[in-house]
Amino acid sequence: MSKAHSRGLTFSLLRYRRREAVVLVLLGLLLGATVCGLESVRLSALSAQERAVRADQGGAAFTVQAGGPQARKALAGVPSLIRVSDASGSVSLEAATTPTAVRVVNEPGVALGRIIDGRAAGAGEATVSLAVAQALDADLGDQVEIASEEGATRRAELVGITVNEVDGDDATAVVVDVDLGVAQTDIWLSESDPYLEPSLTKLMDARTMTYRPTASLVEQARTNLPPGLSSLSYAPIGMALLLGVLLIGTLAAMAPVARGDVSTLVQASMSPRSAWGLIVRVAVATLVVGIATGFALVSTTLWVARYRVSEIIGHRWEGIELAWLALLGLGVTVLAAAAATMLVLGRAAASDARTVRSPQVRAGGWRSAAVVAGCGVLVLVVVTVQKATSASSSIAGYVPLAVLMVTGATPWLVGALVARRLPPASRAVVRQFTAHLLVATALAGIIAAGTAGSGSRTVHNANVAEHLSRAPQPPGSFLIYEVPDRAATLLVERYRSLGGHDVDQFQLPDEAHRRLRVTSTRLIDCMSEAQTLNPDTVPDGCFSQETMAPVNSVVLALDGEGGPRSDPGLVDQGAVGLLEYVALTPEAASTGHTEAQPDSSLGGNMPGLVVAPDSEIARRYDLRSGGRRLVALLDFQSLSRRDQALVRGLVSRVAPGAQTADAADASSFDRERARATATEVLGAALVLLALVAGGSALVAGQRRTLRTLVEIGAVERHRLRLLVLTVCVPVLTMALALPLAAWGTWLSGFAEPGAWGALWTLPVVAGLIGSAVVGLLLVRVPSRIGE
Amino acid sequence: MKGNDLGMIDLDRVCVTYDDCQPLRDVSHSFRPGAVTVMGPSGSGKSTLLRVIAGLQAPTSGRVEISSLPVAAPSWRSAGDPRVTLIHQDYRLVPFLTIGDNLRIARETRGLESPDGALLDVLGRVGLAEVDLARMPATLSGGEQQRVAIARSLLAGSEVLLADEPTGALDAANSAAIAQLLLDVGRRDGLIVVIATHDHDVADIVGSRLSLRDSHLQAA
Repeated sequence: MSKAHSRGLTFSLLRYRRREAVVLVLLGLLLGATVCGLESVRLSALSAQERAVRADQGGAAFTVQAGGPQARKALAGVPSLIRVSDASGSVSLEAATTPTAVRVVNEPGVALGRIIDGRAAGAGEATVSLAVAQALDADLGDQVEIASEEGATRRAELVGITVNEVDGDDATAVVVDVDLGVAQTDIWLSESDPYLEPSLTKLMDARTMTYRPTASLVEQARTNLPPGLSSLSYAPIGMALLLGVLLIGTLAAMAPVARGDVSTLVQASMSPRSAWGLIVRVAVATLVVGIATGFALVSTTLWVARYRVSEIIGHRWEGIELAWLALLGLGVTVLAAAAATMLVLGRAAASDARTVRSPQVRAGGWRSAAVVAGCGVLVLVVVTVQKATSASSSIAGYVPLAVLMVTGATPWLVGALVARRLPPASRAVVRQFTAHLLVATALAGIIAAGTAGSGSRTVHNANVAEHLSRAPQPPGSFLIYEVPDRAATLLVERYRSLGGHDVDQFQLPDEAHRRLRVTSTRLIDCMSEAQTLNPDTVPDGCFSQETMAPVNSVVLALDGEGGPRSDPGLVDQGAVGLLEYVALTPEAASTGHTEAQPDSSLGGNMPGLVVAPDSEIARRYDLRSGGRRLVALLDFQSLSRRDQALVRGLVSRVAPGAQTADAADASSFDRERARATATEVLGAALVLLALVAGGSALVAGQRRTLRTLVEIGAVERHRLRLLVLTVCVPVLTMALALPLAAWGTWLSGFAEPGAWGALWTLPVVAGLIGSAVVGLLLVRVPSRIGE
Repeated sequence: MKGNDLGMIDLDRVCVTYDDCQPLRDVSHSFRPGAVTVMGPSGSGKSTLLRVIAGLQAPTSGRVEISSLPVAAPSWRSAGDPRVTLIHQDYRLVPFLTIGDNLRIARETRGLESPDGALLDVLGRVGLAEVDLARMPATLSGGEQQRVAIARSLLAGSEVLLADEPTGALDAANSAAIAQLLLDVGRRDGLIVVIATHDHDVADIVGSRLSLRDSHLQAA
């Protein structure tokens, strides 16, 4: 056949079957738009997170924070570092004033924030965020007045507008001051690794200064996603599978039409293989056109409506990421499916050409299935008995495999049983029909039991681990260590503006020369008795068992009032022990005691001892603020998930070297649960896909027999009986998969069904729905065959 | 329409209309027991007429009754009136069933017993007395397969046997034999046998013939 002829045939077929072609194009469009759209949203959000973090650090590769005067002095000696100060303040234009975060940088041309209009500020110039510009109705070229909380006021020409892509309401002003002093600097930006700078290495080892690669901040930001975005990870593939099921169902419904066209083409002297090739090519082309159109449409829509879309999750995207890989994946999957279909159809055509004989199916395979199922049941029973007698089981690890063995063997056993009592011809028909469903049903059963078991175990694990691993700090609190003083004020203001109320702040002492730790008087006594200054050498019983941190930090109160207060687990008869270190060794330089009042809010991740800056203890141990604070946001959990994400984002901007302890962050357990949900949804989609595909193959392969049952004048209830018995194979397999999965999960040590989550039954429910679909496909009277 | 006649097919002003054609227009006719051929060129509506009688397709308008009872209306899950069986030029034997099971299935799906003796009797009547019940359909010739299909219809105990181009895939000798067999079935078993064909030799053997021309059924 010439190319021109083939092309002409293709277009003729498209014209003739335009209705089917439109359906396929629309399905492809839906597939491309949904899958690529969801993936594009996910990628765009992640990309915005990354761009926002990098923009906050002015594009620098590293950030450094100082922990005291010595560290500041050392950093001042490295001229390549860029200094940045963060404080709260305001920006004024004529009579209008709006509160902002004020960032001062000493290097002209450094863009702190993503510039969407104008350019980065030079000396005596400023940029403001879009929200500030809108609040002031400011334009480029305006002279604005920027005041910081410390009273410093700078007049600057507005030369650029910035945005924070993950915080559409961000109010920030950036001004350049080439004379920014070391004392006012909060963070230093570096293009090269500051740890390799000899004058800084020792101080970093002593944690007198902290540094962090921007790449690690980006990684952290990836886990700090707005609500809904983390669970979006599995949405594209889930939608692809669900729409794939819909597509296969539609193609199955179109199969008779295609078969009719092939028959016509064969009568017109085309080989069956070529005829099927033409049909499949046309179907693939229409699908691919639909997918590409859907991709183009959704990408264009997302670009045009990027602000509105991103606003839903509190972002403001300046660009979107195109889901090229998802598009490629869809294209490759469609082509691979088409190639596989052609292979099957080609073989079928060749087989048809050789012989019309179709051997009768015997009830074979059930003996092997019985052996497999028996082994599985034996394992389950033995482990159950061992569990009941509290005996340890060496084969408990095989329980999931045993469940899969029983489920996988069930279709053969059900298939052999359901046809047993039928008269001979009916039995042969049911066996032939069920034979087409055995593999698909076994596969669906294994997937259903496997994903239901895996999902329930994962959710159970996450729930139990979450319960057991609560952070040793006030419930729902967020602790941020080593926040520069000014940044701490800015952070707390922002926190309060978002609705947070309960905040505790402590000054962290400069530990360049000595470190003071608090412990129980019992440990000090033990060390004295053992004549050692190394607490690691005394027996464990010397450490307080009533606290999560038997040796804890000493901090300075912010307000400078009140006597020492300490973790109640360390206080014994109104006193606590003290350990003074002057070197990075496990041995203390000295030990001591002090009086302290118990304070139940302290201990664990919170400090062990709080003293006033002018107290006798502070004077005795020369405790002076190093310019950093521990900020405890005690009612952090009362904020919305979006606002929590905003606060975490602000921390990575103003205190990139800070360590955090988050009792409100269930993200790792949420991720585990999201993964389980994704597994269960994926399992459900695959189960549905396997059964619908198996049922479609059965109906397509046995269409002539199904039609013949009608044409020989079968009484309806007798015909339905044969079909219902056929559907018993997937129905009973799925019905058995549910208790088997539950039994296996229970035997594996996950004994509380209430903690398995709500979705572990979903794959089995999908299997039952899939079985119903198979039933409907079978019961439906096939259309005419070549009459 | 005469009505209340047992053993008759009554068509009363039956119309079947498609988007672009009308194969049956106001067709009224009564078929009595015995064999009759319906002649007409390809596309004239012969197969449509058979499907309407069999209850596989609802007429656009008009009524179809067998023995004074309406033919069952087709739906997505049920089609075909159990009083009717069909045979086709491609025989429609179930390929994975033996000859015996192909015969048995017609009775089993009506809830009837099917002893081997009855099967062999019917096979003898259609000229296949020597055929082994355990053979597969694909091992038989086309003519033999069509005889098995006719035997299956006889075993089903239906009142009406509709044959759509039953000799279309057979040579002249086999065609004549099948036509004679259908004629005998109509005469001896009291079945109404309607044969749609464009083969004049078949029509000559059967004798009684109708013609479907310009969407109307008329005596040829």
